[in-house]
Amino acid sequence: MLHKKRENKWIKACKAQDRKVQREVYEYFHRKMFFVCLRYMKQEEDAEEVMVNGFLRVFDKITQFKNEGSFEGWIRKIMVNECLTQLRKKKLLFVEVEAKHLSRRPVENEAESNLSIEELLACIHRLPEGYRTIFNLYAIEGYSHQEIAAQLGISEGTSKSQLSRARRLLQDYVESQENVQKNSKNGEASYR
Amino acid sequence: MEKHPIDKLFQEQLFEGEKTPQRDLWERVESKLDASNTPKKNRRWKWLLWIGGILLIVSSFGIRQWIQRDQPEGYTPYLLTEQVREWWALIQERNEQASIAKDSISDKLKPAKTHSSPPYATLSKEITSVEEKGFQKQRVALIDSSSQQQVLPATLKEESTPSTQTTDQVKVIEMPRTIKVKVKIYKQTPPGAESKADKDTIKTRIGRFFRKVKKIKNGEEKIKIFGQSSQEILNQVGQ
Repeated sequence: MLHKKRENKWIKACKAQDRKVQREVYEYFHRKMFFVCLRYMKQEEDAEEVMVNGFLRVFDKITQFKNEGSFEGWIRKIMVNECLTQLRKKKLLFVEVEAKHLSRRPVENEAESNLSIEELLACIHRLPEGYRTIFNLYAIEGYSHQEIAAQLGISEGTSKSQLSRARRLLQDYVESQENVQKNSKNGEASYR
Repeated sequence: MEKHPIDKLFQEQLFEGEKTPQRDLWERVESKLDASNTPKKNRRWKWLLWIGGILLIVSSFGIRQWIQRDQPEGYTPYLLTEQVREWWALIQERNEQASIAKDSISDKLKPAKTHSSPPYATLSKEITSVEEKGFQKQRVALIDSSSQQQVLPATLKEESTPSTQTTDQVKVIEMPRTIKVKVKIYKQTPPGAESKADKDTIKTRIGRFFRKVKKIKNGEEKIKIFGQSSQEILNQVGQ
């Protein structure tokens, strides 16, 4: 957790365009922010470009930071907005997944998984862009459907339905991934 | 509201996730920061320079117009400054002389001492104004030969040239001089002194004074005045 005193010192120096401190800020946050971008952008190159543009915006708009929330939260929000801008440029489509591809089972009440962070990220990357974006915004960032609708220029109903479908798909992906893991373990055991 | 299990699973695992990019991206950030900062600074400086230059031109033109508003065409502010300085020095010198002379004459023309008893009507003289016409010395700054005509006042052009002496920087012109003294005469009559004898005395004194003035004016009588300075001459006029 970034100490408040250190955070204030950084903000003051960044406002004065202190390049050394700007680098310190970058070094401290860039891994987290790269992961944020990677959740929205499937390709690493795209995520890199978005993150670079995001940090430029952070240093450019630092004077607008009012110290009302955490500095990290403010940077994260800028990164998310930068991702949405990039997706809009790429004409983000809210495709409808055919019903036959969706699981008919009800979503489990308890979702437990032994999947690693990389595997979960891979599951998210398998989602269509529209689903992935809404799931990221709602489930991980904590945006409301109203906020998502305003950000993406869609109706709240579309946001809700896309989220619901994204959850079902993810559940399928997680289960299939776990099955793959089980099978590989069983295979290893029988081989021994 | 309870969070959906899938949402919970992904949020717990991915919200605080970290991954190091394969390449060092700071250089890209830094180069873009340099590129975005430099032109902005230059642009700001360019604007400031433009605004400053325009203000300087407008203000200098305005000041020049204001200084030259009453001057003849082609007159430069430098010559005006020199001329004003010369005139101001002359005016100061003349005012000083006139002030000294006036004080001196006023002292001389103080009301005569009244007799202790019986009271008599007395004549009082008071200098109301002293005017000195003409310039004893006119200093004219010779900035250049073409500007000399502009520096000389109109009155001097007609009256000057009894004698001139030219130096490198200053031309000295000696001028004939007229001193005009205005004298106000009034009587002071103490209470109880309005007798016929007093009236006759006053009439006689006034009559004598004006007869003398008339004679001097007509050239029948002359008074000799010696003096080099205005103060000395005025002192004798008072007497």
